[in-house]
Amino acid sequence: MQDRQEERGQADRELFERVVRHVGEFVEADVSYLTPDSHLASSIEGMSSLKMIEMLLYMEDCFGLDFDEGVVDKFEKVQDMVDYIRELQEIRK
Amino acid sequence: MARRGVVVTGIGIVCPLGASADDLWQGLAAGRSGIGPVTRFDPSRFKSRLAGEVDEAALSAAPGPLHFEIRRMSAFVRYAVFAADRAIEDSGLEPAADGGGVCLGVSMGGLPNIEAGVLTQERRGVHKTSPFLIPSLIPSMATSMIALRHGIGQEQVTITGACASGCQALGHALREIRSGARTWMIAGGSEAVITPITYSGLQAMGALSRSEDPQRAPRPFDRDRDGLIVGEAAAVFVLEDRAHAEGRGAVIYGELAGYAANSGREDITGISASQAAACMNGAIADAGLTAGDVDCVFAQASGMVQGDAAELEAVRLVTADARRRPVVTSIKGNTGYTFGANGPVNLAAALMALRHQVVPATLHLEKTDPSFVDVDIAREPRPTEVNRCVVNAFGFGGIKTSLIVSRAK
Repeated sequence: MQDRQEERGQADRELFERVVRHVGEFVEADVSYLTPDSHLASSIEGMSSLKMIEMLLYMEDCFGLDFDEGVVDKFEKVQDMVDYIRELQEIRK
Repeated sequence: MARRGVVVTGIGIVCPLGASADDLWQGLAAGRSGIGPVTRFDPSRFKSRLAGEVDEAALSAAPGPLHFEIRRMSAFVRYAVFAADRAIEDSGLEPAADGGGVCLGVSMGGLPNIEAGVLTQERRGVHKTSPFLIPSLIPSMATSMIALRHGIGQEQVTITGACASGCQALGHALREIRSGARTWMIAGGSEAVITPITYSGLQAMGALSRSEDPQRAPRPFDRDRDGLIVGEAAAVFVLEDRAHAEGRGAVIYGELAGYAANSGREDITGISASQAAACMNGAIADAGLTAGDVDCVFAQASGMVQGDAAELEAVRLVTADARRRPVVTSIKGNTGYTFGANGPVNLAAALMALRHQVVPATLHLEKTDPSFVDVDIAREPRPTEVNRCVVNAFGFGGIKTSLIVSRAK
């Protein structure tokens, strides 16, 4: 049981790091300062509503997933996006 | 009261010959062609497989406001922003200051992005459409990005007048400064439509040259001319009230001395020689000159059979009673046909001709059309005294525009 929790925690950390890496690729900047609680709209310099939608299209391609329409409104923090991606990955499994 | 003079104090250009006015001039003076095989897509299904492409690697992606957004814009926006950045830097003007504005001419806007957007929608689904699609393609976005990037809070205007768009924008800017409404204007034109649908459409019209040899096409004024070669470019200028430019010690390239435009009296694509002549006469009169004062005509001539002939007939009509006749040249053999940017690219070439006192040759002109023998067409670069040039740009729908540009005093 404990091993499974540790595995899950490790997988979450890796997913978070991958998300942050792709955010950095997208905005072409170092965003390693982002934490799970960072606000997507205000923590990334120059973020705009159009840029946010474009970033989600980029994330879809990076993870091979299709996000629900309007999901952008549900993403407040980086962790929200990580959780959503993990959910979709688990559904696909 | 003397009329305000309007001078050019900054030039920014990107075209198939390079990414500066000096690149343009060196290419023209050396008789170099910027035409080559299409690389943006596989052109094998089209009868024309050549293009005058911009070397995107030469466009330094200058950091600055909206850098991220600009990179997602259609090429005509990116080229216009690059050219405007260079023109402003060249002029030393502070564009955030009041008193000026921006006016660009764009004909087809983001056609490549429209085509790509439709394909993405149909192949990958509606939800894969980029939120930047619409902003990237609307013709006014080139003007808007320049205004936003440089903090210009005054009026921005975009003119869409087919292939005369850029010349109309320059004419509008000239009138704004002359009237006293503006002290300076950032003005010019941009076009970048090297995309399959452009070739489909122009092929259907029979407008494209079928030549497969980039060293022989297009052939303006030549007896064997068979159509245009698609090009792309942006040319943007800083225009200023002469007193304003002199007051701040700006380097003056030349004076935009006259402008005229007219329309109609032919079909959608035809060029009426009498209307083109009336337009040139109007610009010459607007500059306070007579036809005999003109040293050179930078022609619209694209290599089209009827269009080139009509333009030379118009030059004949304008100069029939003149004490001397101008030399005529076309740079389309070097650059290809750049649609809404035709006039501004021609203006950049004319300003360089005024500076270097050389009229560039009409590239690929080998066999004179018998009907043109009485017109002096530059076959080789011609060192001569060049004080005043006519710049022509004509567009579908009967649009005619002519500018007069004079040597810096």
